[in-house]
Amino acid sequence: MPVQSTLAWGFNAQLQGILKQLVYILRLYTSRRDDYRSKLLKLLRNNPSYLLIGGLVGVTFVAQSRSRGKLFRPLDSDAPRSRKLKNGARELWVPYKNKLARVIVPKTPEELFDAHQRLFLNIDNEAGYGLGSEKAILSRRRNQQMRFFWQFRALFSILLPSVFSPIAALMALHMGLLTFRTYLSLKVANLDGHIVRHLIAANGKEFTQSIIEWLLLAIPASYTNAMIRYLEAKISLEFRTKLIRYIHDLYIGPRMEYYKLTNLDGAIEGADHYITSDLINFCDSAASLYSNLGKPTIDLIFFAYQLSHNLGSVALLGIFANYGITAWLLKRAAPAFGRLAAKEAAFEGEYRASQQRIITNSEEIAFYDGAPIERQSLTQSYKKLRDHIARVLRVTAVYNVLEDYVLKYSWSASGFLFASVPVFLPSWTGDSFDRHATLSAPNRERSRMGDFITNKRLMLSMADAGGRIMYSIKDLTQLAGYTGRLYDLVAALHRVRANAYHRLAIEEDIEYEEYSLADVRGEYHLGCDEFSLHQAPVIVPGLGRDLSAGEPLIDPITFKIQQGEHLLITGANGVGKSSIARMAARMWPLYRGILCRPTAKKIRFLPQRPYFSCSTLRDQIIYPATHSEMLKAGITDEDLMDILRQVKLDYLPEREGGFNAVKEWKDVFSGGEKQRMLFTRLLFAKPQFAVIDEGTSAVSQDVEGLLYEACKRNGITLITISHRISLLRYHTATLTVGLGAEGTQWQFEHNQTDQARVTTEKTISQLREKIAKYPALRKRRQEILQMLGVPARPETGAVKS
Amino acid sequence: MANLSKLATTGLGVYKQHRTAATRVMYLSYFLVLGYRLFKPKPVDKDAAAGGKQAEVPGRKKRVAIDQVFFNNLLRILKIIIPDGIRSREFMLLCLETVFLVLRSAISLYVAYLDGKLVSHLVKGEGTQFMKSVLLWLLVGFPASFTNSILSYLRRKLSLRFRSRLNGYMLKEYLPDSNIPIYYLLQNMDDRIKNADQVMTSDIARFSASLSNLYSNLAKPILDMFLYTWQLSKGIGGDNVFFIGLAIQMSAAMLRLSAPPFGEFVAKEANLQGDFRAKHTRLIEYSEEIALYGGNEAEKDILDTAYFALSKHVNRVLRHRLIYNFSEDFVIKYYWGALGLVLCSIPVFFKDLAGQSVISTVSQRTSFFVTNRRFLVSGSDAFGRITSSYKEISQLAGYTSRVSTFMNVMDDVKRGKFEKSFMASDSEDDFSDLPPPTVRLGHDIIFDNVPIVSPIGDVLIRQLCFQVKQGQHLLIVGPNGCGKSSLFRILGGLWQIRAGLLVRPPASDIFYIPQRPYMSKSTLRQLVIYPTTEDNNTVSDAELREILDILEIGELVDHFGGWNTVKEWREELSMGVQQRIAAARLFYHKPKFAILDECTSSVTLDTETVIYTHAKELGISLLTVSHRASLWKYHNLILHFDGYGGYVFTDLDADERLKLEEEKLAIDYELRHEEETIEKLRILEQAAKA
Repeated sequence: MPVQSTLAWGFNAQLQGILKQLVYILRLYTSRRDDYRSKLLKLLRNNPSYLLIGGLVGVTFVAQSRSRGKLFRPLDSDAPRSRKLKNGARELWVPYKNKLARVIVPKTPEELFDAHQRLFLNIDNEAGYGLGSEKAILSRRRNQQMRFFWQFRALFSILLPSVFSPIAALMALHMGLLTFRTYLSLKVANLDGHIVRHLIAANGKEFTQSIIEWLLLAIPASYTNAMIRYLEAKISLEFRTKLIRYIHDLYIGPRMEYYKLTNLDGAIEGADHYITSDLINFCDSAASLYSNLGKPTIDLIFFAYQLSHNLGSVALLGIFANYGITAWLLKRAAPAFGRLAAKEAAFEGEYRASQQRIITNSEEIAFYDGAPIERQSLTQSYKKLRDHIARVLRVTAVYNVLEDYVLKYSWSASGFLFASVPVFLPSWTGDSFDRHATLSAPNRERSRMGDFITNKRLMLSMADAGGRIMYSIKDLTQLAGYTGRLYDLVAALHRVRANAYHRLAIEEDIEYEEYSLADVRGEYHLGCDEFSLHQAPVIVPGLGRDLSAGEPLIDPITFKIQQGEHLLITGANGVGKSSIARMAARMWPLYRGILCRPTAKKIRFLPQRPYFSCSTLRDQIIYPATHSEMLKAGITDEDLMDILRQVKLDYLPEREGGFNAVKEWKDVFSGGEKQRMLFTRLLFAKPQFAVIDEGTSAVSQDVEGLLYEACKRNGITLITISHRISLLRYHTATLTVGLGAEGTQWQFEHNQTDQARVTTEKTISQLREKIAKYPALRKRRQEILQMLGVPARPETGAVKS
Repeated sequence: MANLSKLATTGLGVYKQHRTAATRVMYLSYFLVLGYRLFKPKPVDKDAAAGGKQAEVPGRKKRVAIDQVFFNNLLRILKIIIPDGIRSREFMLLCLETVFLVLRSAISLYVAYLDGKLVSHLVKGEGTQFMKSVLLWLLVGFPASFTNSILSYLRRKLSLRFRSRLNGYMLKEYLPDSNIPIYYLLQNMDDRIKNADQVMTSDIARFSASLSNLYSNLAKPILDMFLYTWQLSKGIGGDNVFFIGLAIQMSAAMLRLSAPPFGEFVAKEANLQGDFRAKHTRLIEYSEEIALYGGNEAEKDILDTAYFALSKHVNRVLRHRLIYNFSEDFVIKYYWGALGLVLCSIPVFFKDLAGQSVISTVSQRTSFFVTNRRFLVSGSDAFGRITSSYKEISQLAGYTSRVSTFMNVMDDVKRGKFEKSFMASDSEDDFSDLPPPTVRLGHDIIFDNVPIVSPIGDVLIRQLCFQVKQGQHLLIVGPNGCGKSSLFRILGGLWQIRAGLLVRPPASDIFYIPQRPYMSKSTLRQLVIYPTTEDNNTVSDAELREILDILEIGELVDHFGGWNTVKEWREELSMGVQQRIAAARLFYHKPKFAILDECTSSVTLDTETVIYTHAKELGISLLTVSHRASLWKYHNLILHFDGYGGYVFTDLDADERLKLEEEKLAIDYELRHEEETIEKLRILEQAAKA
């Protein structure tokens, strides 16, 4: 036996040994003798290879029980569904099989995000990847490949932070099983040959034994196969979890990246699509590429090795040369299928567009009575399509003859020839003598038959592996697409998080415009006991993707509100009232000037549009705090009832079925209820300052008073944004915006000065005069209508003249 | 014990005696069962769900049953696509395909024998024989690959021909020469067909492909299965093949029974995935509010909970799948493989149980084994295809039902039968007090007690009476949605009248110019003379140029390089030019009446003057809808809708009317601010008091 194959045969022999032992165990077990246990133990001691199989089974079960979760709760449990742990991780209770299962969600450390900026904010990828200044010489395609490589590496550092992470262990296990499977396939091929040899020799006993061996071998083989598929899906899922966690922590952070990504940066549209489908596609594609490339590569090496042992290296070279030449030939002979298909799609699209044109313009065509001419043009369009398809059919048919002949017949003919090498030219196989030469004629035939069956199987498998590698190259371009999209998302998130526009402008050598996102110079002073603006203009920010200039709305504003004062910000629609709130909430950048305000806990904002999360009724009141935070602060459901009583909503828990009811709240509450619910959030949080944006537009005036009084009683300083003048009475100061010819001026005044009273009286008398004129105007209008001959509305019935 | 063995021996003897008959009975019953299973509708397609991700959510699409209706529909379509029965080319193609199918099976059989021979020569080490066989193999490759290729060519060619036939038929039905505008009615008066373009393009294409594929996908495996089973039985014995087949069927059934409810799992996963996505969409939608509240922690909890609910479920499915895959792999790959080997071993070990063939030498056995194994593999492949062809039949049923529904609806529409949902509540109004609906062709336009009713049953005007004689010009005004366009649709014959007398000139005498003119993709000449075709055009290019010159767009011809230029004109021309092209069509056709529906909204006042004066010079009676006061002077009649079901029809004095209208506008402006002023006053008074 040649030296290089000793290893393979050795392992082979060992497995054969194991299988024989298994038969032996079976026999032991069925014989029901008392001492079979001791015999079993002895067997195990002598054969450590059992531990390998046992270990594999064990790992599966460990992996299963690990993900099964340790604790469950009933679905209707009252306990909080989320809790923050000491190390920053969170404990969530997730619905699973009619129960709640516990999940620990670790926090992605901020330092990791900081470190990853290097990967995701490096605009000049190629330079960062160590290519010199001659990179311009590189072809575009090469550049794209480099780009894909860089992007994939960046994403991969999220997926696999170190070689000791659990995913790495899964991947290693997967690789190990792949190798094992290839080994088993070899084994199966050999066994197949054996069976056939026994069959032909009509060795009944050996044949039966081989069949049993076959079925026994099937157990580890199918286990490995199933396990490989399981692990592939599992790896994909782990990738997904890892990425989702990373993106969630980056996307939904205290810096409001979820808002800024769409509204300030603007490079990513439809982030939900990226996070849900693109991410899954990326993970599936990455995981399947791993196994699609890994398996055939291992197969190819193993089978080539085995074949070179069986047939000799000359034959192996011949096989490879045959594959290579025919593949090249077919590629040369193949018509441009891509271009033909693209053309066909274009014709289809054109035909379909003409059909759609008929539908959209059906009325005009019907008026023109244009059916015959439209049919003529449709028929022409269809004919073009049909002729093209017919041409494609003809071209394909000719190519198919060639392909079929080469792939099915010439390949198998050359396969026969190569398989015949050991028979006719035994000296070429690398063995110095014919293995079968010493056997008698019938035995030789049998043995050759067995070898032939084995070799045929191996050649088929090798061709299959080669084909798979070809296909996975196609997958690679697909993966590149998904990688690009996902990279864009993560890069945009990093850009938003780090506010890295300034750097963007410098690195791309653009002169950034005034009031672009790279030109933010305002200062926030957090933690003050007042709310004040100093020389701060209100500017609609330009998008970050092209660093466009912002659009100034209001001239620099200066005013100050102390605790205990109340401010009404008023003005027409669209002049920038709400923008002041956005600036104060740090959602929009402060381009110039200074803004002083309390810390985030001590100032709350009530937005114009009511927002209700999809969770319990309790969560609606305490939003954005969580249930566990509420319990920690020592607040009970009874206290919440108190708050509801203050806004006259104490009937709600009973109506909706308790504080734990989960509904789509925006459909449950009426308009007035919604706004009153929003005030309960203020009454729960009791901040120093509250900014209320049109918070009472849907409630009656007395309820409005009730709400404002309740807030004031709780010591909340109110800053109201509204165009309702009736709110004046609850406030001590007014900021009017949108004045002047261009609407950019503003006025700040403390209410009820003498001057204001004088102007008020003057306005009142003017208004009274105006109202007095209305009846006369109305009469004149009727006269005109009559003269025009229009019937007085809203009367019905026809008037004929 | 002795009795038992004796009984067994006798039983075996009896069985051997009546062996042929027993085998026949067994096969007959088997095919019956197979046929039953093929055409029995399955409640849940477990196999498809087990396939993995590509399985669709159950319940999303209703499965079309394979029943009498399907066969009737299919027959109807078949009559269209094979119009002349056995004399048509499609039928010839089908016959040709059948011939090649048989040829291919014959070649496959020969190849299987050759394979066996080759191996036996190889094993015996007969060099010359072996080389001869290899050469023969290469030679057989030529007809074999030619047959394969021609089969796939024929299949696709047939599909294309089916498509062309069906497409031509449908186009004729959809865009008929008669004056019933099916395409319009289908779109606007009937709810049953939502996307006609889908049916006309991809559904027809898919139906044709599905039909022609079904033939070869059913005919070939059935032929193959018979052939291979027969060959196998010849070598091994029919009953043995049957028993092994039974064992395979039983294990497959066991496997199916033990499969976890993958359909349910997939549905649940889709559900959870949708939930997760919805929550993300919500985050984006409410990003501003959440940012203002600082609700990021709470939102993250919600999103993470949704994600982990999904991931936990997926994990669970994966575990179930692991166990199922294990057993599936074991049964299909190894257990069945072993059965196949056992089957091939029967004639070797149990010579008296096998069929006629007698094998004694090693090389015979080799050749026999290789050939039969090939039969076995091909046969089981064919069998698998037949069982999976249920899916294809139901697919075909789906396309057939779509296409035939479309055809049925077209028939209904042609006969004036419409189905439209959400009829308005007062659609019960049967207008029985009005005279019965009568439409007459005449020289003038007369509406006598005609109600204007939209297809969904909204009564816009209960009874409308007016008359426009040739040479008179009518201006129609009123707010949006008062029934102006509906009036034209009734006038154009698109809508049926429910009552009253309508006299209108023939369709060729009324010309309609909509606000957004319809621009076809065609030559410039065709664009101007639309809807006349170029073959029927009697006007010379010079005269056409004159028409364009009147409208000051004559240089278009030079700009676009002549009358024969084909462009997507809708994108090439500005709206102003498009409206002038529409006017050119009016001048070209010189109808008696013209309906101008806001058709000068994008042109200058000068051009408007040109259009109206020239149209009047040509003796065209104009019916204009417009809000532009500048158009009043061209008309001498006015029809004024008030938007509440009332109207006034009277003579028009343009100047006086203009003045009054302006004064009214000023008063309206004042009155609109009335409430606001009162409210302001009230608040200021209150503030002054405080």
